[in-house]
Amino acid sequence: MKYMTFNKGLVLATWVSLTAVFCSCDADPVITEDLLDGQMIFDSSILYPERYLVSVSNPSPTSEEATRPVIIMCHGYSASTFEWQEFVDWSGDTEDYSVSRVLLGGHGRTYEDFRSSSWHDWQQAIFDEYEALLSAGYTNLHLVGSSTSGALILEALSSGYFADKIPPGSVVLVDPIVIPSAKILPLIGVLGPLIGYSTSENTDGEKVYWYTYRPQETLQELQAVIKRVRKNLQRGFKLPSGSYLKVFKSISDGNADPVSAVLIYKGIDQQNTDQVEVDMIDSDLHVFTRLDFREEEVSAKDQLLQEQTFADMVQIVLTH
Amino acid sequence: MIDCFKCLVICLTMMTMSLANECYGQQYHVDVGIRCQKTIGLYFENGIASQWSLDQLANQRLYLGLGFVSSRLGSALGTNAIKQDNYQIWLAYYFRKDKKLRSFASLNSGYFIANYEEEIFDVLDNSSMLLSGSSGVEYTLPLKLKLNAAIGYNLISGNGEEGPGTLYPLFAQFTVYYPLR
Repeated sequence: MKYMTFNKGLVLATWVSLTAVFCSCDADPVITEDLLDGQMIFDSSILYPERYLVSVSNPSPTSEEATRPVIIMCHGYSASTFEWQEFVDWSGDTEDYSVSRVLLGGHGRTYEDFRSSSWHDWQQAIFDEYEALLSAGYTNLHLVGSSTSGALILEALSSGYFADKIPPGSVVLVDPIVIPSAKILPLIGVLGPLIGYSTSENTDGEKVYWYTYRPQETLQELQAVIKRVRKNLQRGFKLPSGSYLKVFKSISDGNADPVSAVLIYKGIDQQNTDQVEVDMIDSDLHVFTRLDFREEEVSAKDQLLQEQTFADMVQIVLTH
Repeated sequence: MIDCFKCLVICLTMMTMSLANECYGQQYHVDVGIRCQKTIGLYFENGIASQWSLDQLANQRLYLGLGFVSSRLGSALGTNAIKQDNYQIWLAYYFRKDKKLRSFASLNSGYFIANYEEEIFDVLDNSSMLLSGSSGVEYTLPLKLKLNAAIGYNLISGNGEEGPGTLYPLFAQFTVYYPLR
């Protein structure tokens, strides 16, 4: 009898706890208009694509322009085109290459737009620009991806997306995520509906360019794509012939675990020596190439690492 | 970390020898078996496990165990997964003595080491002490085989800033024991 009472009590307590959890969890955050998440602020590439996309700004290149390197730069999860602004500023008015900054699908818009997007949508924006450039006649294309874009590009490489296309001459990944630093992320399918969304501690400057609220649906998409990439790396895949891949990875990173670089290096079957190279960067910043609006004080060393990496990226693009 | 590993091996050896001495003249029980461990969100790691108990020690409810599981025998077998080894020691308390279905709680420790293979990754943590709690059930089949299932939580895991990146917090274990004595 005591056993039965204990069991009933346990069931009741469980139901009360679950009800309390569900009722105390707001499905939507309160979004103010000073955030990227709101209805007022959008990524400016939506309004002015010609300032960001080479396929729009120069859809009919001369033969010389068509063979000049175009660097397609892709940002990370919940970020926007701003993530590569410093590289554009650093490049100045160079004639050596062009930069095409892609806004990932679902990003740079409202919280609802972001929530309803899948990782396929995020990736499709990269494909759209790549294919638009090829259609326009560009032949010297290079991909640069930070954080989640690293995973999206690796997914494209492993799934054979480039098999029937001119492949990228080089792929540069900055702090790509394959293993998350938050090891609880694989449980997002179970915990996500309970939490609804997670909140980022963005600085005032970051709030305009990064989502403050991350819907659990998008965290599930993030988990889905990095799991897929990890499995593909585990099985192993080859880069397109003639393509080169370089990973720059911070050795301490609260978002993308540095061991991600190990999995990428081990997971790509190299057809010739030095087709894949890794630089472990002595930094504790996630996407250490972006220094603007950091909460942490940016040191001279951070600036030096950024400039060295920008120079290395350009060197890679010009030699592959 | 090498020193830590040496300490662990010495401790395990001393405990085993001590247990053997204690067992002299007493009724003791030894289970040996194979273990399958799945990290929630990462690898399968498989290996061996053994545990001992004494009649005089908590009336055959307390078990001291030793185990070894590795991704070399799981996810890394013929793949590019990282090769990583777990040397495990645990103390488990079993409830419902003499029942076919017994629940248990266990305090686990040990040593974890991953092999990143390339020198460029020497800057990353690749080893750690293990410290976890787990709980589960054990069912004794008519053939005396014991099916043991548990879920556990690593108190020490990698977080991108310290600790091995492939050491995850949640894991599930399934062990099949054969009672050797």
